[in-house]
Amino acid sequence: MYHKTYKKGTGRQSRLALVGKLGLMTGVVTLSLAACGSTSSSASTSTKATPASTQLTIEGNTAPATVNNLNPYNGQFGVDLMYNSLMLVDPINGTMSPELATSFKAVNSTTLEFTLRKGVKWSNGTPFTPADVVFTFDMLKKYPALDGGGVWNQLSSVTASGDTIIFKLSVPDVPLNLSLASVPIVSQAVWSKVANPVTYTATSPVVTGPYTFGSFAPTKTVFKKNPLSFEASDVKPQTVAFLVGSASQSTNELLVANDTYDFSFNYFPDVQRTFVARNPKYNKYWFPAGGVVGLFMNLTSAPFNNPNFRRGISYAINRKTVENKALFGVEQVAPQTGLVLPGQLSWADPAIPNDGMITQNDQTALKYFKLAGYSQKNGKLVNSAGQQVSFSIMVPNNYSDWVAAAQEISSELGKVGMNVTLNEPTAAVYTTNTQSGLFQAAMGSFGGSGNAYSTFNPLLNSSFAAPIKSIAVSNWGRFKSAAVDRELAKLAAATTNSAMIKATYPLQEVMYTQAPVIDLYYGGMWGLYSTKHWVGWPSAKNPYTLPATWDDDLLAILMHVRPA
Amino acid sequence: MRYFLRKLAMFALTLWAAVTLNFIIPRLMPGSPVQAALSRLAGTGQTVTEAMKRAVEIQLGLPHTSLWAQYGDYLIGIMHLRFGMTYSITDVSVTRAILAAAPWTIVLVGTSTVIAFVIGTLLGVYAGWRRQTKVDSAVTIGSTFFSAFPPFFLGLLLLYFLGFKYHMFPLTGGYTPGAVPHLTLSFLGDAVYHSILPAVTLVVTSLAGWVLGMRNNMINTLGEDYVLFAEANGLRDRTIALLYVARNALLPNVTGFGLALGAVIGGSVLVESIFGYPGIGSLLLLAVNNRDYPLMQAIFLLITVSMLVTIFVVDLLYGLLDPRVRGT
Repeated sequence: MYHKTYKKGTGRQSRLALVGKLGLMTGVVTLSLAACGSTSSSASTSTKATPASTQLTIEGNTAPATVNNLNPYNGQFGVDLMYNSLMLVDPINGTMSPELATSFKAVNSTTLEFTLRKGVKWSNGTPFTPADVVFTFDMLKKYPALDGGGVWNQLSSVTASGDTIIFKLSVPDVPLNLSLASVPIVSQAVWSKVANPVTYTATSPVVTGPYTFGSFAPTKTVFKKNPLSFEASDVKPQTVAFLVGSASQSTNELLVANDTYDFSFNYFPDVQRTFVARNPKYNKYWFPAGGVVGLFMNLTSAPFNNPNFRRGISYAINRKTVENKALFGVEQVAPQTGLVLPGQLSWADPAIPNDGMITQNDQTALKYFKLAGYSQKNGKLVNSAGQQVSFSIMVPNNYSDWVAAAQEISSELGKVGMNVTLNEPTAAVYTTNTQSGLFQAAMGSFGGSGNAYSTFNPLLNSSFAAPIKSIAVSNWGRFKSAAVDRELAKLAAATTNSAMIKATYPLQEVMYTQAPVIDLYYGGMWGLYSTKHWVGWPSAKNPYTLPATWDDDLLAILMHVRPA
Repeated sequence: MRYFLRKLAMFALTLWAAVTLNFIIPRLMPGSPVQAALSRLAGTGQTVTEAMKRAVEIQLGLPHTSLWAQYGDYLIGIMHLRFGMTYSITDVSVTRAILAAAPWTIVLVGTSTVIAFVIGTLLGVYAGWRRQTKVDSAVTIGSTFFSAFPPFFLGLLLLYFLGFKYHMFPLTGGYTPGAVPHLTLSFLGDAVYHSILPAVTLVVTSLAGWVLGMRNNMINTLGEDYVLFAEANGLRDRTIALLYVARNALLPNVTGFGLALGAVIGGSVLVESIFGYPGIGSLLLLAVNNRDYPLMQAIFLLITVSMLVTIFVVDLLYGLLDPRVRGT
């Protein structure tokens, strides 16, 4: 199975629905026949073909579901269509657009204010109030399992003043606004009576979003339009159906190619032939950049503790050929600044040449290796003691694209005289070893939220750099710099967009000149869609969001599609 | 009587060993459920924070007690058929997950095993009786040829041609998406329709074992004196083949069949996952992917116990059928 199918269902934002969605991904959430006939619902009506022009079909789980879990924090596919959050976050550039809140203001670096929309009604007819928002956040504080985005790490209080919700932070962290804006808001009247909101399945949901629950069967969940929603007229499909896919990649390819769905999230190798060519008139794909795939190095030991050596590696690698081996040219190569272009082009530091793109050049590489104390001898790159540079790259054995990339890197670094081998453990061992710092170099990925702070902070902040053998959830390379920590704090405290952009310049500089991670190419978002029944999908020409079947991305897509 | 007591003691000891190994082995696997969950998340480029890790731990309800305490809980749980909650499916108990999957596997794999046994044995009888003829070669080579196909490969071929190209069969699932499993004729018909391709895959790839076993037993038995005697008496060919030879040659195959039935509950991971069949095989794959110890343990336990019970029963039957086995 191709590992990118893992992505299915993961919230890319620091979004709450962690486990449930993670669950959805690998094909989790299973089976059926939950006691013959126990699920009473209207199966017979939902199996009848709904006219194509009113229903939009999306690939959901890869295995039948047992429980109709509509909990917005860990529920199944589609809950994002029912529950609104304060604002919709654009995953490409991190900008926000109105939802339950119409505007946002950072009063100062520790006070964030959202102003609520007036006249919003819950689907049972009762009015939505600021108290619902305050209740929701208080509930997250009480039940950390719901707080997947960890907003209460930085929050100290949430209060309402009229239509304004005031978030007080314990430390300056303006970029937290994106996490706050993404929390699904629930009804106080309903949820205050729930004994345990973590395991509550919310099967008769009271919501503000454009859709509400329609019907459930283990292999198909249908959401229908919520006529009371303030967004009811913004969405065209009358119903949205999530249909089960297959946990087997090969079977899934057949299902998708067979016109089963209007929209699905799948990586197909050679997508032009395997998908588009099946029906060139309607079958379309968009694989925009989702994050950066890079070569992580253990910065606590030689030779990687030397920034010049790392820069040398950066120049010795031809990123285009690496990407070609891994993803057959469907993605672009990444700049060494850590940004995802073109989405974050406005953030690029003008002082860095060529937007941070690095062209492979052996002479430059050797120059940096020399500065680091390594030189070529008889075709081998050796240190001052005459020993050849040799290390291994760790990569999970089932991530076939990463393995291909690592093989190419190994052969390219071999050409400048290094002895680079591959270490291919299972994904679980890979995770343990990278987090514990028990690796020399490793393939990995980072970023992709559209927000610069959530890209740089986990990558560079010393506070994540746990000692070797202790778990570091991020910053596996153990990058430590007091100066960089100060720059990160400045970025966290910046209240205006231009101040934030300026605050990332020193960080981009560090990425470029010290190469704590070698940025290689973009990991993709694998959107496949059919224009047979619905048009208006996100695309390179109209990149209003990323083509994901979950989170804000999904809601944004539903607001844009219209009948063909 | 001593024979049965001895067998029973052996059975109890093996069962305890199996149950204990079943507890230890998943814990020796590298990685933890939290890491499995977080690595999937990290693979998307998302920032994984300590807070998220905590949230995942709480949601999964991971045990924080010592291994001995877990072992004690585990043994007590087994006695009450209580296996805890799965990590893979929100808010579902292991017992419920297995009960939901088991009927699918038992029907699909069980029926396929019976069909493969019957067809394979009959073909074996025929090939053995007509040994060294073209029919024998065709049956022997043909069944070996199809068994050489890995099940997933044959499954994919069938899916591609019959499912995708010619739309004769559905591509995935145990039933039409949107249907709710219940006991009506129309649903059962739908389920049977969905099970044809996986069943064909299972039957075709397991046929050769029965065919070859039966054919060789036939040939051995054909050399016996009583067969010669029967022929000398001028009995009809068919009578000799079926009543004299096949009946005696069948015994080893029946033992094999008993063991095959014991293995049914384990399902077929590859075939079930290719056809998206909602059985134990798919469930096991899911559990392994998610480092879902409770679910994994319960499934392995189910497989081990059903296998042990089958062997035990076969042993006892042998004791009844063949006094020599009983010893004293």
